[in-house]
Amino acid sequence: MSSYPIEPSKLLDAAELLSPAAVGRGRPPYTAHRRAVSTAYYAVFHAVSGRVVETVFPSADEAFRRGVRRWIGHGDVEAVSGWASRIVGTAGGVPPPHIVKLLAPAGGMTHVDADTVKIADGFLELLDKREAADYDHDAVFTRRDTRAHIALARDVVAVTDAAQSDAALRFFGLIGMRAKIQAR
Amino acid sequence: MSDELVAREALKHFAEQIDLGEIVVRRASAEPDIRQDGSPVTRMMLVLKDPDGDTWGVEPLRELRTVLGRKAVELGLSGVSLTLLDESGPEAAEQFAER
Repeated sequence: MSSYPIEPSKLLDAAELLSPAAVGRGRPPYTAHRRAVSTAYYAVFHAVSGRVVETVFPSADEAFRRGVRRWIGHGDVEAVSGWASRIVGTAGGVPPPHIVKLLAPAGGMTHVDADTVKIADGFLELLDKREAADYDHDAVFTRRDTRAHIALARDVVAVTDAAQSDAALRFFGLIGMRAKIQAR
Repeated sequence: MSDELVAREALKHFAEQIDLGEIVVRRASAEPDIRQDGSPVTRMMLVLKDPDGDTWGVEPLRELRTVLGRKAVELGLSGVSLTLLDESGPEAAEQFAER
């Protein structure tokens, strides 16, 4: 097996190199800022996908988990994050009725906790910025905004790695259920 | 003036009153846009008081995003996406030069 896995912490370090805390004078390197934000997003995406396969296949070996992990798409995490954020009101709109019934049943407890919201909101924020970084020629990435997104990604990766609540495990499990088995 | 324009002006005005201690909004703009997936979004550009350190804190920024996101929904606008400009940076003067 490859000894070169994609590690969220290393992606965060790479983002730091692209947009370091201390800089000299002169025009900011905007292209580096774009790459830093995109890299920070991928740190979160891979942290989440790691927790998804760990949650769904707790006793599977690493080779199996790596194979399954490739099937998890950005849209899968985005969809479930959107449900969680909309249920607690940090994102606009209302999730589909069957999702509300599942995660926030009338008269029952809401299965979206503070850690899950941090992961969901952070993922959606970084996904939005990653798309702007990669495709929007008019987007502006100041040094401090870029540094703020790296800090957000570091925080979300830490929360993702540590989350053990029932709500968080349901969140990871639902992402696994959204993912489709693919030929790759 | 259309209802949406009135709502965007209200959101901009609301943003410019925000003072969360570490985060103080000096100027704001709000423009409609379309995300990569085709969904509508309100793109806000905010000039913030310079942070004391390297950048602004994660938690105050979470609060800022939540407060503005909820206000946008209350005003009938689509979700917000924030671009943060520090007041002493070159981009703040450039972006607001002709506004």
